[in-house]
Amino acid sequence: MTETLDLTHNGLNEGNAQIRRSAESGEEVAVTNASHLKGLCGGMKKGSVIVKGDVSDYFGILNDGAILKVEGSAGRFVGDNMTAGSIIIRKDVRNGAADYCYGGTLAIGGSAGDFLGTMNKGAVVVVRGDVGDNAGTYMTAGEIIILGDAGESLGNYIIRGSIYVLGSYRSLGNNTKVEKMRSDDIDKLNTVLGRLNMSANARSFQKITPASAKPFYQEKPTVSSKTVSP
Amino acid sequence: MTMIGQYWVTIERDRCQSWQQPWKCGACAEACEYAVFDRDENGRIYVANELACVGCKICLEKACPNSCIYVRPTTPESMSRGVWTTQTIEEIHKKAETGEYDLRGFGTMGSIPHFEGLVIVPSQLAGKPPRDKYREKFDMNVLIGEKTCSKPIQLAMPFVMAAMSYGAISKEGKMAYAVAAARLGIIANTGEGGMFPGEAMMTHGYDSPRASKKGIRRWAPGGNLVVQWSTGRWGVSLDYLLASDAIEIKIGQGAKPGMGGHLLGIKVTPDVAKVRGIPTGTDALSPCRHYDIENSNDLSTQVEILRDLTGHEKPIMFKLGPARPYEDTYIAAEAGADAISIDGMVGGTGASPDIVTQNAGIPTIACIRQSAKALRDLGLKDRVKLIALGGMRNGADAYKAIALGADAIGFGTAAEIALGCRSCMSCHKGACHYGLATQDAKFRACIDVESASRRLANFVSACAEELKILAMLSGHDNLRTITMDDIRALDLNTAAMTGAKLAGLERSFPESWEKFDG
Repeated sequence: MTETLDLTHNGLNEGNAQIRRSAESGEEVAVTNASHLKGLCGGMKKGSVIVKGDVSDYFGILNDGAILKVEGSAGRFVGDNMTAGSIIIRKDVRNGAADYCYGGTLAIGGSAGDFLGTMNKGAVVVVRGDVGDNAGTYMTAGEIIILGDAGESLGNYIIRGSIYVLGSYRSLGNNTKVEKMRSDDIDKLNTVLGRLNMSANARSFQKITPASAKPFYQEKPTVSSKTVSP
Repeated sequence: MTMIGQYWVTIERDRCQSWQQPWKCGACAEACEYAVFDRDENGRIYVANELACVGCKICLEKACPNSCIYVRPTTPESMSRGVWTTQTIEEIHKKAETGEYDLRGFGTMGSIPHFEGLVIVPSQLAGKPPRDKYREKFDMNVLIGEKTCSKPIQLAMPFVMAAMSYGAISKEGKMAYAVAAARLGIIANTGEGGMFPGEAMMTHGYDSPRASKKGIRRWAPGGNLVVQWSTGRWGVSLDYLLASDAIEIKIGQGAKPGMGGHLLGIKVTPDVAKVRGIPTGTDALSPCRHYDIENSNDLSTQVEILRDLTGHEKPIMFKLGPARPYEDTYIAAEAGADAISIDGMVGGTGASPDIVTQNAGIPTIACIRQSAKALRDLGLKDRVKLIALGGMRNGADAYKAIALGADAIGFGTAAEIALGCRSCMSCHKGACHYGLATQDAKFRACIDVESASRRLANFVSACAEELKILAMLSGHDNLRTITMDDIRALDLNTAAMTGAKLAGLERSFPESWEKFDG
């Protein structure tokens, strides 16, 4: 039986402590009235939580293995620095979702704000709706999959990893190029989307990848310097 | 300004063409606009009018086929040529040739106001009597997070190892830091490049987990490891935070405030890439700001979250670059810091644009008192510890920083030098001959962790003794009673920058400093 925690009167520490304690049992924990707590469900290594309603900023920060679901929308920086596990948000998320992630999956049922997946280093981020500007900034690994449209400067200074976008984008960022979808890309998208019960024609995506793996400091021949008097 | 007698000019006769074949060449004499050279009756070129030379070196660069002329300044060029020294001219030529700015390692060079302008006031009859360094007690413990954390950090002496990342520094270099911190009972810092395997254990003082269970091979008394939560979040995970003794939110650093860390791809070996969780050979350029902190509310939220994630055990620290020390310290303290490191302009780095290192920032001595004032104004001077960094070299620098308001000081560059560094300023190239700022196995092999850590621990212990001598001869039996009245400024600049009383005048200069502490 699912245990329900009402966090109306709790601060972050008691709220999270209750969730962590309940999640130990292995049963899914339901949470209500937690939209005032920033950093809810942070740093969980295991367990499964379902939040009824909205959540605030830094939801699931440093998630390291738990399965977190939100039936409403999320604030800024959802899944910040996640290393494992999965976070599913039914509705919209604000800026900075999945910043600094090393692993795990973040799925967003609605649309996302600016700077989605900034410095992504290995997570899979899926957005059913549109995303704002600067999605995938400074990415060094992982995948960002956008089923809607993207804003300005998509994939700015991406160094590794790939961004797939089904709709249109207003502009690409620096150091990006558009590549042809290959069969392994299509298989990958079908697997990820299938797992999340999302459907889209995987062939119709555009794939955005880094133009250069080393865009900042190129190795250059050393300067010939004339002899000057000692 | 007339340029007379500013340069010595010599011709290396053995290589000069006109000395081998009289009446030949003479290109220098033709090129020189000031008739410095002439031909003697035997057809050989000699320096006829050395006094006229203006140091342009056209004779050498445009004329002489054998590069056998030497032009050397008689006085420092900064005096004879003012701003247009050879160094400036060569720098402009290099940029003109390549279109690139200079990137280098190490720290600020040249004359930035530093601790030289301050002296320590000893005790005689007035004030407290001096204390005996050899036979009386002195307390130099520093406690961080006493009121806020269930596991506060105790430093056995008021020193910390400055943050340096694995990547910028070799694994052996990092191990030496960890073991030295353990030997001294102070803090080692991961820097922003993640934690290499074994770093926490070594800092805590153990050789290996198995050995520690048997109670052998312990580097007493054991230190504490601070992990950085920085703008690139390299290697950051829940386990990384949990393995630490304190978390430091890095906002900036002295050598390049306002910029993120620079680790060039050449140093991102497979091992470094693994710890940072990035592909081998990638330039790891940290962003200049935290993408998940948009305002000061976010900052305090993150402090609260980090405390929650680590069970309110560990101190939360901040590292600030030298910008607006009062306001920056105020904001960090309000956000909930247990300790704040303020890194002055003289601080070092593994790689930074030279123009930034030399020009951006506030001198270390000008930062400390402002930061301390912010803590006092908030009523937090006792609870929040202030750690001063940026060009600290010895016990006297430590004393002066403490007098200005610091509770502890950090060694970065000096610690590197204690480990062998000779300051070649090429840390960014990854070919450090002392095995420190490199990932190349050939260079790393020269570090023996055991003896390197002993050197570093020796250096810090010696500085602690120096600090103790100075503190006791000025009448203190602990660090907390050292104040601004224990130092004097030797020049107007230092007095005006620090608020220390001007020696001889025995008052602050300008007088507005007298109201500074309210």
